[in-house]
Amino acid sequence: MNAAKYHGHHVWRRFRRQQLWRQLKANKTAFVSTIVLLSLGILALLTPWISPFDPTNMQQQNIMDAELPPFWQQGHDHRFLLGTDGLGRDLLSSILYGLKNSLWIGFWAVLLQFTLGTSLGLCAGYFGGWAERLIMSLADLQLTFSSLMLAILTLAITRAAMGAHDYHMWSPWLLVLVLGLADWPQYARTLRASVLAEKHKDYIAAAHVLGYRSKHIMVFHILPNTLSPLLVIATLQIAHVILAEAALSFLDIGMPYANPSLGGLMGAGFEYMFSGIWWIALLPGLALLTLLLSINLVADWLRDALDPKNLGHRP
Amino acid sequence: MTSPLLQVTDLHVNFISRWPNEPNIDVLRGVCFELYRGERVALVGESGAGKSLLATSIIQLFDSSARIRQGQVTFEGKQLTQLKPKQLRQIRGRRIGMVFQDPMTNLNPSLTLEQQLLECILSHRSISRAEARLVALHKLRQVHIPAPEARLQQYPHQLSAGQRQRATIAMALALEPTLIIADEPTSALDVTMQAEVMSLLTHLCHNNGVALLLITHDLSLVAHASDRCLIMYAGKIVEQGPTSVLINDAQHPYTQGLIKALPQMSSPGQPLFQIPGQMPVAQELGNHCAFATRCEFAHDKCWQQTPTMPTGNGHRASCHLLTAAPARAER
Amino acid sequence: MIYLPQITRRILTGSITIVLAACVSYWVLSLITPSHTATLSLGQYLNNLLHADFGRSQFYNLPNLHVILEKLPATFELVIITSLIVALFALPLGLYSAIAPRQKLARGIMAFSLLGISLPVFLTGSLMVYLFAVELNWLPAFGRGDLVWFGSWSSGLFTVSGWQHMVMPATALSLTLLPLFLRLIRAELIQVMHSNPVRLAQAMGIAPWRIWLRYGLRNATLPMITMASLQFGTLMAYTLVVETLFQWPGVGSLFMQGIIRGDGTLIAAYLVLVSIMFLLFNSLTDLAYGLFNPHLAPGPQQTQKTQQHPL
Repeated sequence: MNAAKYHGHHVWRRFRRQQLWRQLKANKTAFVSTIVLLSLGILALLTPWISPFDPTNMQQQNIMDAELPPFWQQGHDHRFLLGTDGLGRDLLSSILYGLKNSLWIGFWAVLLQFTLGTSLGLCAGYFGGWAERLIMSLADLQLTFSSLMLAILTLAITRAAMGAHDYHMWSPWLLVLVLGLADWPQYARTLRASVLAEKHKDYIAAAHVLGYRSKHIMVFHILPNTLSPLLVIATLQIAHVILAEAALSFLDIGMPYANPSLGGLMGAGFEYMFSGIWWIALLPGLALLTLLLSINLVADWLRDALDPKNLGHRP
Repeated sequence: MTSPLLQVTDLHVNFISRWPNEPNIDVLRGVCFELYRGERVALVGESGAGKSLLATSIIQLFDSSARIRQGQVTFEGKQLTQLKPKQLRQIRGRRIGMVFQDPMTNLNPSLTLEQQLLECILSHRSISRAEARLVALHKLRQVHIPAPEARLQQYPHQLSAGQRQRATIAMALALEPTLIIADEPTSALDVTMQAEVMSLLTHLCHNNGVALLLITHDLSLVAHASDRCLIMYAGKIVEQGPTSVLINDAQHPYTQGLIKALPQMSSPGQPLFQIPGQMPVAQELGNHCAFATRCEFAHDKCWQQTPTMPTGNGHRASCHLLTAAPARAER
Repeated sequence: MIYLPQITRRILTGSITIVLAACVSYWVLSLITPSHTATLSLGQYLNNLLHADFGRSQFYNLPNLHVILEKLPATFELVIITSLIVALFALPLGLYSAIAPRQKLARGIMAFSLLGISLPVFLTGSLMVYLFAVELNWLPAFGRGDLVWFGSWSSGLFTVSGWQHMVMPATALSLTLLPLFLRLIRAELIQVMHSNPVRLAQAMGIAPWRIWLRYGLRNATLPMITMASLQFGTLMAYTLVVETLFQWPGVGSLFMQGIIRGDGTLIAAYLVLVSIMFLLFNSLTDLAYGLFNPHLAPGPQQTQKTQQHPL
C-alpha cells in the first residue's frame, strides 16, 4: 500500500508545489492577497485572546454605551476603536468574532461539500451505470435551483417551523449542513468528467492488471491526477459559502444575533444608517469585502497556476 | 531571369517567451528561397521543422507570440514586412490565398457556405451581392462541387470532408490570387480524396497561372504535384532544387534519408528505413549543423560550424560534405 | 422537427419536478401550520393545485395565487430592467476588453469585475442607500414609487418616481451579474480569435471589425445563454435579498414576510410557483440554445460549464 502512495505523481506534486511558491512570489497581486488572507486567518484564530471584548458575553454589554462612533469621529469612546452597535457591543470585537465565524463556517461547509462531492463524483465516474445516472440527475436538479436559493428556502422554512428562538440555537450547525449539502454538485460534475477522461488511460489499465482493488485505484491513482480543478473550486467555494452565510444572516435566517456574523451586523445596522449611524452596517461590510476579495484573488491565481497548460514551463 | 513573385530573404522568426528571464529562441533561422510566377513549389519537412510557421510568416498571420525578428519577405515587389496592417490585409485573400489543413475546423460551423464565400469576396471587391454570388457559384463549379446552388445554402457539417476541402480551395481561389499557400491540404483526408484534391489544386493552379506553395510532410506527394522542392529541417532550408533532380539525386543526407524511408523505395520483405533520432528542439540548436546528431556522415567540421546554402539557382544543399571532398558525398 | 425529443424529455422531467415540489410544499405546510394539514390530505392538496387552487393566505385572508400574482409585476420588472442593464454594459465593455486587453481602460474593467465578484449585493445596496438616500438625498430608499395600472398589472416604468425608485435596486442587482458576463464575454471572444475559422478569415483579408462581429459575438452567444441559465437561480436569490433591503414589494419580500409571520399556506404556494418559474425559464433557455445552434446540439443543461467563474 505504501509503495502506491509514493507513486511518481506524488513526487511530481511536491515539485509542483516548489514551483508554485516561486510563481506566487512573482505575481504581486496574488502575493499580497495571500498575505492578507493569512493575516485575516491568524486574526480569526487568535480572536478569543486578542479581541478587546467578548460580544457573546451579555455581561460586558452596557446599553449606555450604544451607538458610539469610531475613533476618527467626534463623540467616540477610546475603549471602542470602531464604535459600538445598537446594544452597546464593541464593533471591533464583533467584527473579529464575525470573521472567525465566517471562516469557521466556510471551512466546515466546504469540507463537507468537498468530501461529499468528491466521493459521489468518483463513484459516478468510475462505476458508471445507474449510479452515475442517479448521481448526475440529482446534481443537475440541484444545480438548476442554485445553492443560495436552496439554502434560503431551506433555512427560512426551518426557521418558520422551529420558531426564531430554537432556530438560532441550532443555526451555526444548520448553516454548515445546508451550505455543505447545497454545493456538492460542482465537485461531482468536474470530477466525473476528469475521471471519465482518466479511466481509459493506460496507467489505470496497468493498475487493473496488477490486481488493485477499485477503491484503491480510485483514491490513489485517479484522484491525485484530478485534484487540481477541485482545489480551485474548493477555494472559490470558501468565498461563496462565506458570502452565502453573510446573506443569510443579513436576512435574519443565519447566525443568531448573539453570536455575531458580518452579515448579521450589516442586517441589524441597516436601519441605523438613516440616523447617520453608518458604522454598524458599513464597517463589517468592509471587513467582509476584504475577506472575500482576498480569497477570490488567491483562487484566481491558483487556477492559473494549476492550469495544465502552464505546467512544464519553468521560470 | 524574371524577378521572383515571392522572395524570402534571411527570415528569422522567434517566439516571445512567457518568462522574462528566458531568451527568445529563433524557430526559423535564416530561411531563404524564391518562388516564380505560375511555379509549383513544395516545402517538405517533418513536424516541428517550421513549415507552417514559415507559411504564416509570409502573410504575418501569427496567432501566438511569434514575430519576425529579422529578414524580408518580398511579394510582387512589395516588402510585406514593412507594410501596415491595413495594406497587408488587402494582400491577404486577394493576392495570396491560403488553404489550411483541416477543413472541418477552418470553416465557420455556424455560417453557410454562401455567407462565408460572399463575405470573402465582398471584403475585397465592391460588386453587388448578386454578382458576388455568381462568382461564388463559378468557383464552386471550378472545384467540381456538384449542385453548387444547393451547396451554397448548406452548413459545413452537411458536406463531406472532400467537399469541404474543395470549398476551402474555392474560397482561396475566389479572388484570383497570384499565389496560393496550401498548408498540408490533404493530411486530413483519406487516400482517394487526397489524390483528387491534389490533382484539382495543381490543375487549377496550372490553368489559371497561379503559383502554388505546397507545404507537406509527405515526400511521395511532391513528385507529381510540384516543379521545385524545398527541404526544411530545424528551421532552415537544407536543400532545394527541381523536384525530379532532387528526388533522383539528393545531396543532403537528410533528404537522402527521407527518400530511403519511403516505403516504395525499400525492397519487399526488408525492414523500413528510419532516420535514427529526433529533430532537435529550438533550444538545443547552436553553432553547428542541426542534423549532425542524426547524420551518419557527420565529422568534426559539422559540429563546429553551421553549414551555409550556396548561392545560385538550380539544385543546391547546405552541407559541409559538399564543400569538402565531393567524393565523400556519393555513397 | 428535431426539437421534439428534447422538449418531451423536458416536459417529462419538468412535470416530475413540479409534482415533487408540490409534495415537498405539502410537507412544509405540515411543519409550519400542522392544523391545516390535519384536515387536508396530500391527494386533496395536489388535486387543488391542479385546479389552480393554491390555498388561502392566513395573513392576507385572500387566495394565495391572487396575493402572489399581485406582487409578481414588481419582481418581474426589477429582473427585466436588471437584465437590460447587464446586457447593455456587458457586451460593449466585454468586447472592448477583448479587443484591446492591454489598454488602461480594459485593465480597469477587468479589475472592476474582479472586485464586483467579491462585492456582496447587500453591501452594494447598503452603500448606495447610505450615499444616495441618506447623505445626498438624491434617490428614495424604499418601495416602488407611483405606479400605473394596466388591468391587474402594476407598472413602475411609466412614472418618474417609479424610475427613481428602480435605479438603486436594479443597479445593485446588475452589479452581481455584470462582472460574470464581462469575464465570460471577454474569455469567449479571446478564445474565438485564436480559433481556426478566424485564422482563415484573417488569411482571407477580412477586416478585423467584421471578424469580431461575425465570428466573435456570434460564437459568444451560446455560452452567454448557458451562463444565463446557470445564474438564474442565483439571480432569484439575490433579488430576494434586494427586495428585502429596499423594501421592494415583490414576491421575494412577500416570501420573507410570510416566513416571519408563519403564513404556512403562502410559503407552500410560493414553493410550488417558484419551481414552475424555474422550469419555465430552463425550457426557454433550452429553446434559445437550440435556435442559436445550427447543430441542434444538446441544451445548456447537458453542456453546463462546471466552473461558475469564467476566466
